[in-house]
Amino acid sequence: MNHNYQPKIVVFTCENSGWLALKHASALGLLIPERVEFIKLPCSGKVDLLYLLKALEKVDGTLVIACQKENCKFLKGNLRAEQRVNRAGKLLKEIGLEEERVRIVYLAANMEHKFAETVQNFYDKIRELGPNRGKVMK
Amino acid sequence: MKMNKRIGVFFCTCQGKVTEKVDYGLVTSEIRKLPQVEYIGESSDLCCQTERELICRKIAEKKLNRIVIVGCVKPKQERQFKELMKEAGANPHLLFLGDILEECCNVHEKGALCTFKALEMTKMAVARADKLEEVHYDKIPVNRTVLVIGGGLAGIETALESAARGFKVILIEKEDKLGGRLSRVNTIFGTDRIPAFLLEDKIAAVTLCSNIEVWTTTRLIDLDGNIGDFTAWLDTNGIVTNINVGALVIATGVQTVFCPVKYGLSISGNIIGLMNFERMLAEGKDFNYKRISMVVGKNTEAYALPFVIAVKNAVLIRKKFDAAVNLFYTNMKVSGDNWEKLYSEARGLGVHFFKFEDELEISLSQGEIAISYEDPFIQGKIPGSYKIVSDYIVFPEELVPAEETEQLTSILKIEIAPSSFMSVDNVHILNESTSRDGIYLVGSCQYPGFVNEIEMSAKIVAQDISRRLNADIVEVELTQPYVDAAKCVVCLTCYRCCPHGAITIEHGEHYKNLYRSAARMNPLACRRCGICAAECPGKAIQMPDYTDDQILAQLEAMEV
Repeated sequence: MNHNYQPKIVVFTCENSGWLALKHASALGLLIPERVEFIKLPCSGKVDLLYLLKALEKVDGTLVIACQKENCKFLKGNLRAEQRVNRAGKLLKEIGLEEERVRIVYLAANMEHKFAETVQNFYDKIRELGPNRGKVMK
Repeated sequence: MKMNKRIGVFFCTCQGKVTEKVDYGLVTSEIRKLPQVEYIGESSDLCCQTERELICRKIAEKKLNRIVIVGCVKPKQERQFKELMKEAGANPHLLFLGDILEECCNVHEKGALCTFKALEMTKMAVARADKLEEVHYDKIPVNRTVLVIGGGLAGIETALESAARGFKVILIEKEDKLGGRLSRVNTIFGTDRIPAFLLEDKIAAVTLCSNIEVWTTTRLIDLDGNIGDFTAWLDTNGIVTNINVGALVIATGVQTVFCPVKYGLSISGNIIGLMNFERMLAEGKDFNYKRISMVVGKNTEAYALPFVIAVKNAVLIRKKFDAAVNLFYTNMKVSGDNWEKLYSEARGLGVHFFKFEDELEISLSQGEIAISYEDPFIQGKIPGSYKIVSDYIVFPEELVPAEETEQLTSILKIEIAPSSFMSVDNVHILNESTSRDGIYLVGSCQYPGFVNEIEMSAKIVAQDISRRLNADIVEVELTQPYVDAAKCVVCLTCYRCCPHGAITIEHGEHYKNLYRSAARMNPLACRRCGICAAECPGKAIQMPDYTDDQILAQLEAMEV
């Protein structure tokens, strides 16, 4: 395996938890890998299956950051996001890719250290998995 | 008319904080190559007034119709830039902010990768800005009538407060008279007012008020619509009428269930429920020199109410009848205003407090009650337990939601909390709101409350209703998801998954699909979570500012 390999990750964050955690992490100057892109959504329930799969056409892993369970501002948004992430995982498995490339994490807005750690762990995990074989080459 | 997209990108160095790590020269030279980008500006502080004027001027000069601001994005700045867009005569939704400072500079180390990410983020922002759409305001007529369900103190108080703010109020009560549980209470902690007189005054005020209609022996049987335009079906002795209301206030309260069986006792004259005891005191029963034991524990300790009532009455009978009072408790919850003081007063007056852990042995013989008690602190040090004999024993009743609460919640489409009372939506925002806008909970229907709390909630709710329905026609920004009727197949997925019940199915010839109908998100009731947009199997629902086009374009612009 190439040791210089750096995966690319897209993180979909709920603006009530992950997004705020990112802001707090940035205020504390916690380090996050460079090849990670953040996309803000009004609720993790807005994460569409399409977004996850379209993102995986280009990147190596997608992470969804949702609010803690039973703590969603919109009651069940995070549970819906979870189901979609599971569905995406199943689809990936069906076409012979690793399910682990898509994952959901539950965080609160004040868990900035956990946030940085989670993103780093996911990054390391994807790095171990190697490049995404499902990327669409153009 | 389709306008050409002319994007202006404004970079902010945030007083050098960004340029410390990111080379803007490289970023701007790359961004300049993008065909849609019409203008690139750079400044050291976009937040200051002169720079804002410059942006305004540039928008007019270069006819920019999409703006990307790259720098830091705090909620305050976001608001400021939206204001700025309005000043410049553009729609504030044609603005996209890229947070380079916080998402890139602060969390990465200086290096080529950091600049590369800044470039990528700017490219993504430009791609997204390219797809941004305008969002307009709409004027929606609303009904300014409030329906209050429940004629107890909470209902009466909310009706009076709403009427005082100029609303027409319909107060419904399932019994044949107003009053509720407060009429059975002897004293109210915290005030010297006698509950019966207090209620009399309030009821008189309700009957005098021309804005309040009272419907007794009436219950709600069905509800349709959303905030500003509810249709409620009311059943008065079998006669069903439907009325239009703008907001609903639920004030159904609690009911009490007395079960001494928990302590192995049957119902008997000297075994009294706490509320019943309260009523006996109100009716003037004599407890002179009697020995009274009160036991607060076993499932009755979830709420603070039984503790305060028990201590309050202990003080009262100690003062008035010089009775010997023993108060057995597992935990003493005196955490409110002046409750601690009340507790110390009771201690000072010689009320005996006994802490017990799990079990109390209570036996009844010849009209006397014997409680064998073992102190948990000196357990084992002194052998055996000792007996406390009393004439009366008082238990708090179990506090459970009022009858038909479950039916009511299913009619209202709101949640039930684990405690089986009605669930409040978000305690951090408004303690009285439910998951549906325009439906409020006041008083003991969320948890058994105190008179002062209820009075405060009633004011808060009346205030919130007058904020939401401030005029006959309210203006609202249409940021709620919209439906492409041509794609809608009326599968009801969105209708079922909306956590706020904000979706209705509308019918009409103007819906160009097979069913001549489509889902519609009510702009007043929708809270903009976007769950319906993501859940829609036909992708017929799009959410402004977060449309699929925009997010996919953003992903598309990303480098591999």
